[in-house]
Amino acid sequence: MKKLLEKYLIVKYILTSYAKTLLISLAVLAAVFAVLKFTGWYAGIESALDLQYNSPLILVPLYGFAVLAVLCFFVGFLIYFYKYKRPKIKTRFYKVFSSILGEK
Amino acid sequence: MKNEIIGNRYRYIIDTSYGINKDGFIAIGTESVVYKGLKTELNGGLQFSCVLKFKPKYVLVDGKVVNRLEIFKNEEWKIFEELRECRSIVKIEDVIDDLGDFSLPCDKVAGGVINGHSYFCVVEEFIDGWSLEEFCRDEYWKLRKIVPLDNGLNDIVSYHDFSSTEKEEIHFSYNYDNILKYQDQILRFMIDLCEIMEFVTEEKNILHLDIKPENIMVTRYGKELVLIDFGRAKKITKANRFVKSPLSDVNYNDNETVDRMYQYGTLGYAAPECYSKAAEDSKFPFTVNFEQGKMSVESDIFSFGATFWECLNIFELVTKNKLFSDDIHEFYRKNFLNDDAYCDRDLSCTSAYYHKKLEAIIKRCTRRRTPNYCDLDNKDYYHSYKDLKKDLEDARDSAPTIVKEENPKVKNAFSWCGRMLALFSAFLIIYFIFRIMAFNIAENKWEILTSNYNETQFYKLEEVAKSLITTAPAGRVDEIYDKIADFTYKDGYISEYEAALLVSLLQRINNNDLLPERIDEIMINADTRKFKEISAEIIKLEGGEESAGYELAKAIFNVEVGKTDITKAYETLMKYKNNVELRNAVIKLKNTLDNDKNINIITKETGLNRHEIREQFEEIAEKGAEE
Repeated sequence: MKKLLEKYLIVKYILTSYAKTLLISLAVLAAVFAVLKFTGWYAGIESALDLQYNSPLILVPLYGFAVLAVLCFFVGFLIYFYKYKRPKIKTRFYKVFSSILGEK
Repeated sequence: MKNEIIGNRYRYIIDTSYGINKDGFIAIGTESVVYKGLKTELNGGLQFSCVLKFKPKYVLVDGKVVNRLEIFKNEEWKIFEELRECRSIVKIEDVIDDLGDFSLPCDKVAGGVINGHSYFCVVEEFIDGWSLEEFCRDEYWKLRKIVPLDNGLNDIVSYHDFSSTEKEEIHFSYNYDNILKYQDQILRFMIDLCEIMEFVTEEKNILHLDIKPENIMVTRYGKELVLIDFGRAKKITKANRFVKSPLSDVNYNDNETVDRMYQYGTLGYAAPECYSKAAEDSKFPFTVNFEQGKMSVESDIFSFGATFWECLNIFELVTKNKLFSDDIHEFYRKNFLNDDAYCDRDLSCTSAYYHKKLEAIIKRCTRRRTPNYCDLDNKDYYHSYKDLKKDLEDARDSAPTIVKEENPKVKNAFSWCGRMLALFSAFLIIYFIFRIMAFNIAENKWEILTSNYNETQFYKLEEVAKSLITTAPAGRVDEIYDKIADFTYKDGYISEYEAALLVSLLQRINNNDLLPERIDEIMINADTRKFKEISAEIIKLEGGEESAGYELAKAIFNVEVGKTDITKAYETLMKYKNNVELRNAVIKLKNTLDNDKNINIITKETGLNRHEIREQFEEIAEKGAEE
């Protein structure tokens, strides 16, 4: 597995950051939920925000992150295939040096 | 005459197996001839490689005879000893004042022979590799090659003498991938040299003052840099970071000679302030708006920039200018001794694939001098290798990498993709948890709501009811509907809003078997004052056409709202006139039809007379009154 990831670096980048972020976000969410449940604030928040599976508070981030993931992937590939070119400006040095190079 | 030199611990001989002409010759500088040597301990043993630098004991500088050996021992050697701890600076192993009767024929020096009478020898460690110039030109871009001759010797063939096929191959190799690899290598060299110079200048307070590609060695294995030739180096102090050039004025109209140099350092690489003042009627090559002869760390940084500018332009310099291939010194002397060519050097004539940050660094290093260029607050110039290194590291990190996957921007984009996917997954998990828990949550909400319900909470009731039906397990949907319907029927007749709610739930359930029965239920429990509105809701249900409630609702709707199908409505009334459960709906339909206009239509279309119709209506009204 490690060898495979070393071979396909892009997969490695995605998977490692995926695993780290997923673990951290789930841990944070679990901790927040536990605190809210323990303090008894959860029911109030759930009712006030009308938390349910199809409420905007769940669906908007869900679709938002999916769109952002696709966007990052797309941008990543654009950069991957992009050939860098420095903008060339015809400076005073260029004028002198190009004429020097012209003298074969 | 002997061919060996006796030192303190070792005996030295010239390594005649080395070099193009197998004579051990490496290079010739302004003040030394360099040979590859072999050393053996005086009492025998293994042979090791070393460099033998033959320097004249006396030299002519500005028309005066100078004891070079004494200067070497008092200045240069001390500098070397101070820098000994740095492994990237060449080490002096021995200095031999007296060469004894050693004699070496050499056509490159005046007199044609190197002997103890005129020369002393500095033994340095041998660096197996190339000078930076050789590395860039010969090793990387293959712009010069060594061809073996019939007599066992070798010949150097430069690019301009290559065949057209060879030239094509060379140009073919000058592509995106190779340029990126080269840029990566050069950036590494620049950072390495920066670190070396940081040690030399900022820790040891020494200015090198002759940085150029020839004085930087690249090791064959590991491609590490070793800085050589401290012949021009000068000590400075923390308080006084400048040193004055010892050169007297020169006439720039005369040709440059070894004993009368234009500049302190090497032409083409030395900073403008290292050039001597113009004597007599000659013209100083640069605009003089700085203190001439005042050499500082900025002067070394200028040479640093000029050195790597050459490395980055080497392909164009060699392939597009024959003079550069033949005589670099002459090339610079002829073309570069003016402000526009010497300063503000950029990469405008070389590949566009080199990064703009690298170009900016070269430009800043070689910036045209202004009166306050040494002012530490003047950020147009580099004043320390720390800042230079920071910019170089930034350029290295910004430049595209050879392995595209290693490009930090690619890495960042895909890492962010992973992070976004992870957050998407986290919300997906939350979504499914809520989805699984939704029925329980909705049931819980229903219980809380119905335990203390008043009519103002109807919107909430509607929401919870819909969510109960949507999330209920398949086997419990009908049970849940009944629970909701019972709650609405509990406090008497249902309003048009409650009817609309039940209709929408029935649409979601879509159970055609139980639909007629449920429509009847709604019609039985409908508020008599709101039959019109409730009927309008009921007729939205598809599949309930068979139920009595539906037919009555449709008839009421048609007569009251659409003013159509009057006769059909009368027939429906006759059909259900005896239905006890739907008595309210039947009476409502009767009342709707019971007017002159409708009776006229019915008489016209059915052939019944008004009296008969009136009798029917009265009969229905009586039944209603009885019940």
